[in-house]
Amino acid sequence: MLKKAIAILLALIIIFPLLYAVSLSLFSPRDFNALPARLIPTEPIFENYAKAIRHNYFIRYTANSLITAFLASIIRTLIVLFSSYAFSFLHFRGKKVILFILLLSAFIPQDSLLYENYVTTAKLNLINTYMGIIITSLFSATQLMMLMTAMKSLSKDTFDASRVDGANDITVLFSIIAPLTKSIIITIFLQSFIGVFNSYLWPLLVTNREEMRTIQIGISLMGYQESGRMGPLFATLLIILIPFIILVIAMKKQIIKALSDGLSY
Amino acid sequence: MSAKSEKRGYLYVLPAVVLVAVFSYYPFLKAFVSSFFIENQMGELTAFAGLENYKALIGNEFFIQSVKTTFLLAVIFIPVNTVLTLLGATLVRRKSRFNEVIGSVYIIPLAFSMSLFALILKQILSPTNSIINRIFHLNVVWLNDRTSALASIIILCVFLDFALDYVLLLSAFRKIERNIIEASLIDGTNEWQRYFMIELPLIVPTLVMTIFIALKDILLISAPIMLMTEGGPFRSTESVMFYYYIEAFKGHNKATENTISVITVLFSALLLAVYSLIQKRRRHA
Amino acid sequence: MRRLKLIAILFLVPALIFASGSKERNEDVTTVTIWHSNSGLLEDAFSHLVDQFNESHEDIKINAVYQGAANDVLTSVNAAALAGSGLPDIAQLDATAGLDMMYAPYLVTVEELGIDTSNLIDSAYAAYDSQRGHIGVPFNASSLMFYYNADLFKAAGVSVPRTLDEFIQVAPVLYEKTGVYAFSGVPTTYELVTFLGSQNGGTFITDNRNGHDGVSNKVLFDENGTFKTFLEKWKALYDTKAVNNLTSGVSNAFYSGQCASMLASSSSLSTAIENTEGLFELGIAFVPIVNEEATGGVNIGGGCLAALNNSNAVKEVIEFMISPESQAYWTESTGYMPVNRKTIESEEWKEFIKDNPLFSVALEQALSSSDKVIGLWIPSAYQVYYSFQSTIASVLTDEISIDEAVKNMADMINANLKEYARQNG
Repeated sequence: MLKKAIAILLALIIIFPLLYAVSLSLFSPRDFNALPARLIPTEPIFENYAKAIRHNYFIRYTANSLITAFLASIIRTLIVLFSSYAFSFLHFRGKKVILFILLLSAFIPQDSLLYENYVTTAKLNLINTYMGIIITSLFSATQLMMLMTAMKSLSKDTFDASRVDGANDITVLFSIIAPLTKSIIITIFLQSFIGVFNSYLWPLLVTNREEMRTIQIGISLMGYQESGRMGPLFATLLIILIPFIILVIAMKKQIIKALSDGLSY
Repeated sequence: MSAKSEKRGYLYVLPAVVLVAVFSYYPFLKAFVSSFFIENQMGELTAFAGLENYKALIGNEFFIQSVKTTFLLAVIFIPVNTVLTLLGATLVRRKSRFNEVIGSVYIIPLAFSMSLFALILKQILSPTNSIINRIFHLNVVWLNDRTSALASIIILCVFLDFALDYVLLLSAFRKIERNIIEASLIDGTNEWQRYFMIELPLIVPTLVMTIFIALKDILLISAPIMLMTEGGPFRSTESVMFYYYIEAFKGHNKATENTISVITVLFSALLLAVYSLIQKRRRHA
Repeated sequence: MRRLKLIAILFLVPALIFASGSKERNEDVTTVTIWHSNSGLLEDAFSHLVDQFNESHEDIKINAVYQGAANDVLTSVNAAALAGSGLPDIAQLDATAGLDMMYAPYLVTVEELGIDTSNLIDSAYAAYDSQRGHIGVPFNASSLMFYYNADLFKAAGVSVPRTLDEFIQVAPVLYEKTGVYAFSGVPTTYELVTFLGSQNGGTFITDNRNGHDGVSNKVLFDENGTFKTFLEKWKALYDTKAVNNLTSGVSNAFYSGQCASMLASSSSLSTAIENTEGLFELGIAFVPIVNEEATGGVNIGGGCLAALNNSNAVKEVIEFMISPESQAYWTESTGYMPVNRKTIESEEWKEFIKDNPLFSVALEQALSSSDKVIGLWIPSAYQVYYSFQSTIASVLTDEISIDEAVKNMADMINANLKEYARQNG
């Protein structure tokens, strides 16, 4: 019983910010300044939602976030997949050295090199582009290691047999190897997606046009904050948040499976 | 091995090699070399400086303060985060209807991204009229002193990390094979003994992993600070990476930027090396 | 599969619609991009001006992009300059940009652009004067103001303090009779430029005219004693225990009646009126002076429009923004002061002031200020801003003495200046 009580208490703490945000999205400006703080609005202001929807850019921001996160995860998964395939099944000179160099990059956190990488991205003319937002997130040494471990456990015979049949790399990779390592590939995709979707500092640096901002940047720059017009801000926030909450709960099983499959390696 | 196979091999690893060369090795080497020189605003190295830049950095009280703050955040965040996520996973680790419902709530933070949650948290912890103060009859002026500002950053980080760590620990618990637990049932151990003697030791590797991931994140923390406190009040909540951001992008201080890059890269490499050693020893043990 | 469809419906469809919706640009039209820092009510007013310009001009269109606070605009400008591309045509900047702009190769000075500045108010224009020429024209001019809750002052039976000494007398009475803090906030660079600069009829804080004539070599506030004089008064005010050291949410505390007064920019006036309407009577007054010799008045802050591209379109946009009509609209809807003398002389403005007397106080204060009281252009301005705040707070809580505080601050800024010189020759 005590266990259940603690579990419920923890759940309440976790869900409180969400419920309070719902309430805040219906506050009037005066409710925001009320003393003591109000839990629920004196009277719900649905106009906040109308104002939020009238704002030109927030759907664009959300779209940018989704597009960049999808693009980055797809490209990253492919890059990791192909290099892992090459290291696991192909022979080429300097393979060990190249692999070592790639894996060693896990020891260099890009967060520490923000400024230099900004300069490089700028010189490549990628400021205000989707490519610029994702360019530093297109490879992960730890994910390469994960996938290589998974591929190593595949029987070499599967591979050799299909080679003899004259199938090319692409066919082998996508019809035999990828399906066998599916769970790891999904994990890599999901991890990348969550990572890129949540990044804040990098997109802040590489975008300065309104139409290129991601939701992370956009919402903190929506200009409602300083002016005491918090109601529409929270309304916007909820419009963005609700689809994600539905998605996370609906896909709970898949997400848990995908994330935890990464554990075995 | 055929020449054709060689070419394909190079082709497939090329994108990865280019990416690490351009965005990991090149910037690190550039920062490393530049850190021993005077670099002007145009990025040209104008004079050799020896260790002057490093001396200037270590002599700067705000840098030292940021180092202390970063470690303080880690020292508080790691245990709090570990205990809470472990608690969450422990409570609902058995499959049941009730646990599935509660579990659905526990993964809700996955849907939040950092800025969205920061906005809500800033309102919850408003210095003038905090709802927390009202509910718990407190009289804290949130975000106005170092302690409560640091607390707000920790709360943000714990909330954002909770779902992911919870999922990982939960899966670890659920992967424990039934027969191990059933065997212990026969031994007549009670629930608590089973938990501490059998289940917990089996998930330690996962626990160590979540702790190291959290440690790396917190030692390189900057965005949550930008969103919650902007380093304030009185510059008392600046982390090393926040300080780096301010110096590099607001102060155009190349010396600080290069030296911090070098120091933090070396430090996190060291951390990762320690982690790899621990994992290796565990596997061989 | 059903789940995948759910994703598609929830996200992809709107994403694709909006991703493909980027606007086509007409080639005969010159687009002038302005990076600005106006949010909320200010953004509404600014957008109105932009729309007005775009409607009345066939061949030039303004593209206004909000980049955050003035200092964030500077960060974006510097980052774009570093990138070598993507600079806006015009940036709305404040005093923290002074040093960078003075040396920025891409900056087009007002003189180079050839804008007619003869109608600009002298002290507002002088704020952007540098050794190289004027770095921009004032657009959103403001100054520090003393905002007070007139109801609370009435209830306590006290009048608005003219000097810090008077404030020291008034504060405890306010606190005792009304139960709320007489004042909230901790002064920082913005307030100090006024509190230190106004002393002895007008004083500089660092040499080279606060850095306007080239990078400062050293601070002056330690030698000339202005910081010490200020700290002694401010400490006495704090020691009445009627003042609270809030560093964030000060305006919310004021609007919700948790403190009786605050120091804030005159640009907050419209927002303050909106937030206090129906709650209490809002008052606005001159900033209390440090002592009787502190007659320098206030520093005209706010922001300027800096040209980063030399073209007729840019010139036309800037001229439009500082025109008597635009300034009248802009100031009446925000609380900024008109920078154009013609605006003040117009019948419309006189009429407006009659109905909205609060809006004239800032202008009166500014017009009676010395042009020696100007913004501080020093390296690491952002860091110095917070250091002032923390140093003052440590004095108030008796962690360090006033003399130590003066020395610490002087040492810190001098060290910054020395480090800047070391790195930049």
